[in-house]
Amino acid sequence: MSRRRPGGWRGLAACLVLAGAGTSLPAQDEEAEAEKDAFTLLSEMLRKDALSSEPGEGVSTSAGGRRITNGTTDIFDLLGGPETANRILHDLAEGNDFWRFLQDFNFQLKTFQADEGRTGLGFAYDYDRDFGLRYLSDTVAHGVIYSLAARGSVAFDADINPEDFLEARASFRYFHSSGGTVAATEETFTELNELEAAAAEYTTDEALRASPEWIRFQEVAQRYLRSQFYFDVGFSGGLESNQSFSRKNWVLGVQGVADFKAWNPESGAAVFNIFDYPFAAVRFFTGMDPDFQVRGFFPTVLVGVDGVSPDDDAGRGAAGDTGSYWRGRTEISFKTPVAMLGDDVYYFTANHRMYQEFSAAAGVKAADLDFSRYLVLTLGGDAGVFLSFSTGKLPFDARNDQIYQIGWQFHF
Amino acid sequence: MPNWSKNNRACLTTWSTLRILAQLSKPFDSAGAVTMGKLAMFNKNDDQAMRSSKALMLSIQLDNVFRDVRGARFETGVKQEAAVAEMKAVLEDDTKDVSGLAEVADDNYRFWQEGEL
Repeated sequence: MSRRRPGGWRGLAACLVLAGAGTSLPAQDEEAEAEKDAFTLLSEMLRKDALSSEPGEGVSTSAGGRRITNGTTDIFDLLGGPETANRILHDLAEGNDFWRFLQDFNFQLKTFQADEGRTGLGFAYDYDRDFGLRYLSDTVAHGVIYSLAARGSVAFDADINPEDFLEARASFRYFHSSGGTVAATEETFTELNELEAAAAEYTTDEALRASPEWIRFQEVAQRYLRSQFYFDVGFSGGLESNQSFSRKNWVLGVQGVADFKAWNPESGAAVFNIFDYPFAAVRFFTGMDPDFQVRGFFPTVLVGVDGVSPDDDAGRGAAGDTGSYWRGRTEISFKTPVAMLGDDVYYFTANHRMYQEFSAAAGVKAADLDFSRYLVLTLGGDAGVFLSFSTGKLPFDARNDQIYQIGWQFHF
Repeated sequence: MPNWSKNNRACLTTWSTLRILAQLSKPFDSAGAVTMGKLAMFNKNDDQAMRSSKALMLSIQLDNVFRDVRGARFETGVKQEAAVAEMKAVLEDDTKDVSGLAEVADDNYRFWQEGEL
């Protein structure tokens, strides 16, 4: 059976969806369905109202608050609601041998919105797999870890992809963590168990936080929390590219991450978290915190130096330098709560990345290819309104974009 | 969603530990469905290396709290590195939720007075 198929990334996305769908059929239908291509298969499933079954019977769907119930919906209507499709994918993948093979691979359909009001569809992927984590001591939390990871966002219309930067890396790191807790007593273990069980009976966060059981639980447990300092250093290497793979970098370098968390709210270290002062004021004025209290969640910092070998980079070719070069990169990540509405916490998040080529050639500098910076700020919670602002460019982006987003997200 | 129950000490302790570490704000009943990306530690705009390091740091702290503050011990045959690695894998996965994290904790730890609920 023939059907016009979308080409390129749309075809790949559809095939991934339908390959998963195709392997989830009941056994007695498999032979009958074997000759149909996967694209037709999912469309027929939708038309048979297989996806409008009652919750708990398999796949559940909703799209913008309405249920998909009739036979006129095809995959492109479905892709018009990425959250709906994501839920279908997740349900189809549960217990599916095909997806279990890629158990650490996450695939998500998404919408992209660039400036000038242009929007479009695409997908994001995320693969993380640790192939070994080894402690080097029984008494100190330090050791080594080696990992493989890949991540990227792909828009069906490449021109509107604000995050046109795909990465695949292997890494080998040494990690070290110190602090975090001190040992409690058996009497404390027993008391906390009793308080915890009683606290679990409260059905709203407001009631829980005001309950004598939770107040006592916090008081006791926090006595044994200490600040934690974590760092890791290591080697990483891999491939960076834009989504069309017309520009690629082979990368090999070293990087380090450092993080500090003052887990005990009474810790004196929290006062040094200057980034949180404005948000501590917001929490106080919105009533989230009864007192002005700075949180001890310091920003996490990553610093790296890479040797970069460009491959098929037309931009650098035009600038007159396609040779290898050294590049520094940094990333800072920060997240803090700002307000509560019911049981939902609203957070401010920030992520800033910077890439700087060392001793760039004049042509590369003139073409503005030696430096890129990308900042994303968001304000939102689990559900409800969210605001997002991003500015700058990642490596391979031809220009700086500024993207504002405001929307409403549902939590089903 | 894996079994999320007040009769399961691993569920209770995972929930209360995440609350005491200010990672979530839900009461017990609704906490099981909270996905990992919604925890306070994580920023969806982080790159993979940043996310991995944050997950490892938090999984080490969860191990610290379970054993030092709550009296848990490893199940027979379980090593610390395995328990931490499994929790890290869950924490890094946006499709997993708190009940999945509790399930991993239940597999690897024998919590204080477990089975006495």
